[in-house]
Amino acid sequence: MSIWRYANPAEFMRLSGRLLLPVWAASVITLAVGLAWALFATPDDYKQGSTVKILFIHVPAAMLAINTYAIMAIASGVGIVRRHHVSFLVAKAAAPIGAAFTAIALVTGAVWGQPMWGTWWVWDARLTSVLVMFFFYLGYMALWATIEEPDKAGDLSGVLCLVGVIFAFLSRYAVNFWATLHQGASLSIAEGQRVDDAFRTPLYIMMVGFYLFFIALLLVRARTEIRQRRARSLRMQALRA
Amino acid sequence: MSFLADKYAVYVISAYGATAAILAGLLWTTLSAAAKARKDLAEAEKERGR
Repeated sequence: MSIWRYANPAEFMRLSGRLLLPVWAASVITLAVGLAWALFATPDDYKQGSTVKILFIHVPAAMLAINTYAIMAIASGVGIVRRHHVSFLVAKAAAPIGAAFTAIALVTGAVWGQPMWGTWWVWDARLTSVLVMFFFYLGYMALWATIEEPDKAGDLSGVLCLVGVIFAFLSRYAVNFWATLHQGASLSIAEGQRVDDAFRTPLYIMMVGFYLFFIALLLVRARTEIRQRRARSLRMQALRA
Repeated sequence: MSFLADKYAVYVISAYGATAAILAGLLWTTLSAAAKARKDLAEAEKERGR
């Protein structure tokens, strides 16, 4: 069975319709458990005090900010090469979600940075590349909004998205290339455990919760885009008739 | 609830508050756009059937 059959809008609507409720339910349960554990059952860190609790939202949001951009880039690339409009619509649907998670990562990072670093913001490589990536999200959404013809909008915003991939890549790897104030990856398979057991389990639960929430939002938004395109197409057909 | 009483409480509450506000806004815009699109498509299909 080929994955490309889900590029068919009807197939996509059928499958996503079946997935929606279980994904919503799983995300609500996981986030509730993760939040309760993170806020009420973890100790304060010996250096960071209670600000360590901010990392339970900052880390998953930052991961999703970067990974959502990667998903958009892959979907845009597939759309441009294979001319599947569902791919363009999935990329379009993902953009506001990615922008929101990027905003959360930037805001929670600044709020954590003030007491821990003594500043809300520094122009270091990671923070700056995440900020530029945020502007790419906004530019991508603005470009879609300004072009009326959907295929043309998909192509042009897809190219813009692919150009911005460098900043998604830098957002992830800048800490490996340069000496930055921002610390290295909190969770790294290559470098072993850097997070104490007391914090790691609730952090994993919050990550799963954020990802499920992302999937639920993406499915709803992609279904909305498909419905809007279908309605537009029906009206165009009526006008031509 | 120890974090509500320590010197960093305002930072923790601000971070969670800002996150909740952004996610609530995202959820509201997502669901309202979904409802509007469903209604719009139903109308377009009805117009086509006439």
